[in-house]
Amino acid sequence: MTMTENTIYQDRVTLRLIQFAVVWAVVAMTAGVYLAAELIWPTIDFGQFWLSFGRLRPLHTNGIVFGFGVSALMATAFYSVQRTSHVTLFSPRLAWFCCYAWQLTVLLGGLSLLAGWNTTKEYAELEWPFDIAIAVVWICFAVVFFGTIATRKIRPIYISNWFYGALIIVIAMLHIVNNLALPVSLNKSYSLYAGAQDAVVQWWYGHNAVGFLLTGGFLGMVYYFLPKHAGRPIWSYRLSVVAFWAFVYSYIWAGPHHLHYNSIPEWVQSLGMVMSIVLLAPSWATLINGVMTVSTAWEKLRTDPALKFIVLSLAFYGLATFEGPMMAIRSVNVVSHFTDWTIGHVHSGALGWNAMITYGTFYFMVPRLVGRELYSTRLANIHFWMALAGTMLYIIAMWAAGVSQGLLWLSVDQLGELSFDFKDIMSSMTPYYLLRLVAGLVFLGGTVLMAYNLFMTMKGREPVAVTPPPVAPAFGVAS
Amino acid sequence: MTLFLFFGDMFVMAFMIGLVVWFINRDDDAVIDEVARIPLEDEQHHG
Repeated sequence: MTMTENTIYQDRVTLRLIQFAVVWAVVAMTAGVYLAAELIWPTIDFGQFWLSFGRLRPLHTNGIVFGFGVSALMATAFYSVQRTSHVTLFSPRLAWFCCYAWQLTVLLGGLSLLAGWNTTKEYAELEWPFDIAIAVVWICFAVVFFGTIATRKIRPIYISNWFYGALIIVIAMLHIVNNLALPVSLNKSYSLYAGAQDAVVQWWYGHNAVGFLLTGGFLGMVYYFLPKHAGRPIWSYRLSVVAFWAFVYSYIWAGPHHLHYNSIPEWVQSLGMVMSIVLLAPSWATLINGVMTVSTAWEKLRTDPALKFIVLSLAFYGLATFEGPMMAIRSVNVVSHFTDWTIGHVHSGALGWNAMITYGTFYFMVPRLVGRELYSTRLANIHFWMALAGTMLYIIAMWAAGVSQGLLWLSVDQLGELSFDFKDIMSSMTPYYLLRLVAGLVFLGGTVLMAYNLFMTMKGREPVAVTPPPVAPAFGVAS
Repeated sequence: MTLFLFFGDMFVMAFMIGLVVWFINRDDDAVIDEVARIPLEDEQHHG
């Protein structure tokens, strides 16, 4: 094949998105560590509103989900959709627009949160100007992704693209519906929904943002990068397709488990609970598929830090997707809700699953993209153990704190009065919060090591030229 | 309500089983194996 600009995979935008994702990881995790410290020493906001917990916390979550997570998902989606379609990106200029417009939106949105602009909807805190900007960039992302699929040279659409496609379609739907609002000024709007309906719509959005962005999108990463890195096809392709349809069909119903014992109909709560338990099946189908794929490549785990991260992320994925359905059971939720157990659960997914699969994927992609060995395998191995130690410490501390809180809050004396004062319970949490702070510092330290390692690997390099191989006649698309 | 949830679950299960049966009968093993190999054979390096 003659190598022209039109036949070379467009990897420059992928590399830039990886750089942005790494920067967001460091920034947003630093905010998280500071927040952990504020929960122990509340006065370290120094009386500054922008440093207060209420303003810094949404910066932490938005920075991780939209800055780090979405940048990583865009990078890996652009990388894999070209390769699995045997064609270059549809409209590279639009892909560059997505890259920079997204960073600008998240950056200005983050600053607006520090300034106190906030819709008060969790994970949807950004005010209406940013909601519109997000919708515009997301639609452009959809055009690039589905345009590449539409112009593909290979007939089958590989399974990772189904997951990325579901991510793009469902997040667009959730974002637009949940953020419908009436603006009254540049920095204030009122939701079109009220009361219990607002809560149901918000958690339909909130849970499925977790489902389709932090789970579905990252499963797309697993299905492409795990077989590629292990050098073996996915263990059961049929199982992956069944898992995909079961996943999209079940997940969308599970949101009401966030509203147990709230003022919404009991049958809605029950439906959310049942569908959350059903979700265990597709989640673990992927887990089994992933572990079986790597089961014939165990020897690579000794020497390959990228594969270590990917395999460990699967273990945490299995843990988090077991814990989630258990916490959705109402009798368990009565203990866990509003406690630090939930924070532990979220971080077993965010640190153990999302961050580790992304780290493994970046360690795999960057050396291949720039055609150079990783700057330091030793640093990557140190990072692996820091990430594992940080995650384990974090979730153990939060489990212990959360279960204690839940049981102490429910404890009543013979007269039916609360046995423990809320303030005393929270004061007794300090040792757990100190452990969480240490865990956060260790995890952040590992991420800084990765940032240094990856930037040294990329330093002074441009992406190497890679083109699609010839397509087998049986799979070719008639042109 | 219990019946509603029961039939809802059964509907989901029927959907899943139907999906599996449809997919298993759709393509033969050789084709599926080839599709699964797509990520392993999707790059041609130069220089």
